[in-house]
Amino acid sequence: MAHDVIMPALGMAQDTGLLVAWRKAAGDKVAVGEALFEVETDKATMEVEATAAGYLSAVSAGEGQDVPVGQVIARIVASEAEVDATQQKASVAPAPAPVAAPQPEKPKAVAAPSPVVAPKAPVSDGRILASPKARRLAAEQRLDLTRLAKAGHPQPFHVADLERLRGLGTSGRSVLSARVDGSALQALLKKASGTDSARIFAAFAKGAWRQVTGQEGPSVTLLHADGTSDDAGGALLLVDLTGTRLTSYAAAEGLVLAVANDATAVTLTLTFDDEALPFASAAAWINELAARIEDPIRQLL
Amino acid sequence: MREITLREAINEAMFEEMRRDPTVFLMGEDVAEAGHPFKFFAGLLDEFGKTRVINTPIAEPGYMGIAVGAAMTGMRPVVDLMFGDFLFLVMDQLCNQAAKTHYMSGGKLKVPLVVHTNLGATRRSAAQHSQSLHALIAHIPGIKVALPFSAYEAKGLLKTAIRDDNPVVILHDKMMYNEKAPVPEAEYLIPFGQANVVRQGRDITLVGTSSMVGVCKAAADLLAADGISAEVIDPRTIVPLDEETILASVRKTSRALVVDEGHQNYGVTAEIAARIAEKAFYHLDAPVGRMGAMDVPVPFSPVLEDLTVPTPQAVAAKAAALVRGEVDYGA
Repeated sequence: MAHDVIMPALGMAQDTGLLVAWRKAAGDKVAVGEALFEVETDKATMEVEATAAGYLSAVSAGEGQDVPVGQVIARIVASEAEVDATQQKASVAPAPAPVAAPQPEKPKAVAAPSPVVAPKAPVSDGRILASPKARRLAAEQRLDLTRLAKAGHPQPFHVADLERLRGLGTSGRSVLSARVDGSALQALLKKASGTDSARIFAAFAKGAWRQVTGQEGPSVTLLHADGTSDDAGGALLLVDLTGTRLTSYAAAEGLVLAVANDATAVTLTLTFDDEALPFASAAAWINELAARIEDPIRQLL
Repeated sequence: MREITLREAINEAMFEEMRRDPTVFLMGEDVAEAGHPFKFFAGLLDEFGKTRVINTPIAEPGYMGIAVGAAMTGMRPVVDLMFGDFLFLVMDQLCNQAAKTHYMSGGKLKVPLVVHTNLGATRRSAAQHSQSLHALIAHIPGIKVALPFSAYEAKGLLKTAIRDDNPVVILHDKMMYNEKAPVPEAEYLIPFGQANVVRQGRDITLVGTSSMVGVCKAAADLLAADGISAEVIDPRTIVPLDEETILASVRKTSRALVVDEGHQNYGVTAEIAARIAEKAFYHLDAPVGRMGAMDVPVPFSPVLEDLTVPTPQAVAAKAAALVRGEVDYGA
């Protein structure tokens, strides 16, 4: 096996070494530890010993030449027959490209790229994953990220996804109203004085829902005309306008039920997303709720 | 403009400051006749003599203590630690004494000390001569930490460090000593706490320190070929840190990747990433990425050693993943 002979790095700041003299010539037999050549650095002149036994061959650097550290300047081959036949003292070639330098330079070797994680399916608990910036811009521009989630767009959402959301167009929103005789309710509220009327409406709304769908009604957040709210975070916003001159309230988003009254009648106004609540269900629900307000005893049946 | 190596830039800064101020002196191992094994102090002994260019024994805690005392009593010592790894030896002198003396003396004493040392792997110097320990120093209040990237920064920051009335540790990547950069012949200083926007970009901010600025620049070239526009920021000093330049960039690009050659655990990348997350949260369109050196002792095997530090390819791959939203969001 052949061994490369390289210009060694003898100092920390050394880029090249001056080859002062060869102690062996091409074709000479070499033993481990024998002086091969002499090098001068900015600190000192020293002899470099052979690290393998054999015959010196392929000598490519001449005496007096300044050789880059790490460059191969000769080889030690196992037998005399392997000595480069063309090797002559005079045949010193220009320095070939350095091979196997002990001090490779930056940029450093290629590391494996970090594994790429594909976007996952939306999580099932209803939370929406979006970047802080996407969330902030959506809020500022009144864009509803839940619509993007319902459209099956992969999460987490980034700012670029807001374009897609705008492309979905405005969502279908509907308003349903009912106006019913309020005298029976009036009598009930009088008997229940001290009770928050909004709570009674919420109970009626849930009862009507249960009757129509056979399922538990939506959780409810209460909002009064003076702006006070229980901030319950419910799916249904119940706006109690009774006792004021206001007659209805239609909101831009969410499921919102407004209840208003005057001397004779109670007015119910439901605004809802068409995607979230089919018209027939909304109609049946509000019709049943109106019936309960007209005749509160239905709440007990 | 003429180009000189980082090694020559250090040499010029030392000559200029030692000529300007007779209280500036240099001490360390092999700094005198040898001009330091890395050669950046060549010629100083001839001009300034043995009283101002002082060879020390291999006894870092001792001569660091001498330097702290000299600084407290009116001198401006520059102490060379041949390898940044030797910072471990001088932690008490530096962190318990130098860093706290101004505070504990009620401002009566100043410690205008410069510790000149290095960081960086891939020099095949094995685990005890390849570490990047600047985060340890930056953790201690009372010491400034400068991380020059180019010959230009090395000269300007070293001169500022020498004139600063506080302890300053200045660390060069030991692989950069031979790298050339344009350096004006006229005198200049580079102020601390002012980051350099190395390259303007639109899609992601790459914050790199020391030689990682070069890695980030190369990564930005790779990303540009991919249609991704990266901004590259070099903080120049991590204490003080120019937070505003970094935050302004992140507000513009919405994404950030912080690259430093210290170990990633509890490191410089963690600190800068946390500040971005705290102070630019609502401007972020992706998690803040960070890349430090792998959390292992630096291997002696070249093949393994090269795997432990961030490369342009790895930085570009991670940056591209952040820009494209291909990141694990913890769901």
